Amino acid sequence: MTLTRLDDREQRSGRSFFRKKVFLKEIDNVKSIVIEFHSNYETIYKNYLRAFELIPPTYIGKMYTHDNTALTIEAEYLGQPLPPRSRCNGAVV
Amino acid sequence: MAQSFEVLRKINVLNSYNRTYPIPRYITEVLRTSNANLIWLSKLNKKLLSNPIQTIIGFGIEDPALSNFVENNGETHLIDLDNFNINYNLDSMLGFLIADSHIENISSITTENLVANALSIYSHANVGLMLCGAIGRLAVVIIDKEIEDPAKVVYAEKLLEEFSQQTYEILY
Repeated sequence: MTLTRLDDREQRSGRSFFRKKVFLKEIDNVKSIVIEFHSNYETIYKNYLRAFELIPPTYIGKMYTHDNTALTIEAEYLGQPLPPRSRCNGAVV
Repeated sequence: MAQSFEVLRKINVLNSYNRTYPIPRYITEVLRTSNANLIWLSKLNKKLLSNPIQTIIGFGIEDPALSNFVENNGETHLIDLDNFNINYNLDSMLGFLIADSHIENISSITTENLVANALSIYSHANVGLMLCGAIGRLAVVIIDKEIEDPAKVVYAEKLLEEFSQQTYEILY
């Protein structure tokens, strides 16, 4: 597995700088975006959940998000139909 | 840029409906926080509140900057959903996107070339609302001036009033 920090992108997105880290994950040539939230940003977290529910993954790409602190999002997109909220385990909303 | 807009368009039409155009939050925020004398922006904001515009609203993000998209194997994906919501206007998002590309490069920007650029991507764009989105992107630079490149801040401040006046004249 390759996990590459997308530093350049993070630096350019000033408003998001302190909210999260963005990585590019590659397993068996399958690329995903990993977003690591590193603070309690419930609103943003809820926006992601809502987007995951409403938008087919085709449009938002493969995405995996998690958080090492209070919020834990376990939603992984593998090009499958939209995952229901039940796929988000251990979420603290 | 056209590919990024196409992603926004597909998302926006998933559930679009007719309602009042929601004034971009960045416009309200810059009016509240900036010390600059934003006469035309204030006038535009008041007019949008007193004479609301009916338009199509759908899914989208508040800050559709180019950095919020990635390209992989010829496909463009939206990867930043921090500000996802169900109340965004497509024309306005287009304006934000195009203005972002100009601002990031500090390239020459006028309402004329912004409109021409927008219409080359989306021929049905509502020019007034597209410019409101562009104003939103300029406002972000001013709101974030503590962390922004000073050259960009000067550039945005110079353009904001000019864009606001022209947008006011187009919409009203």
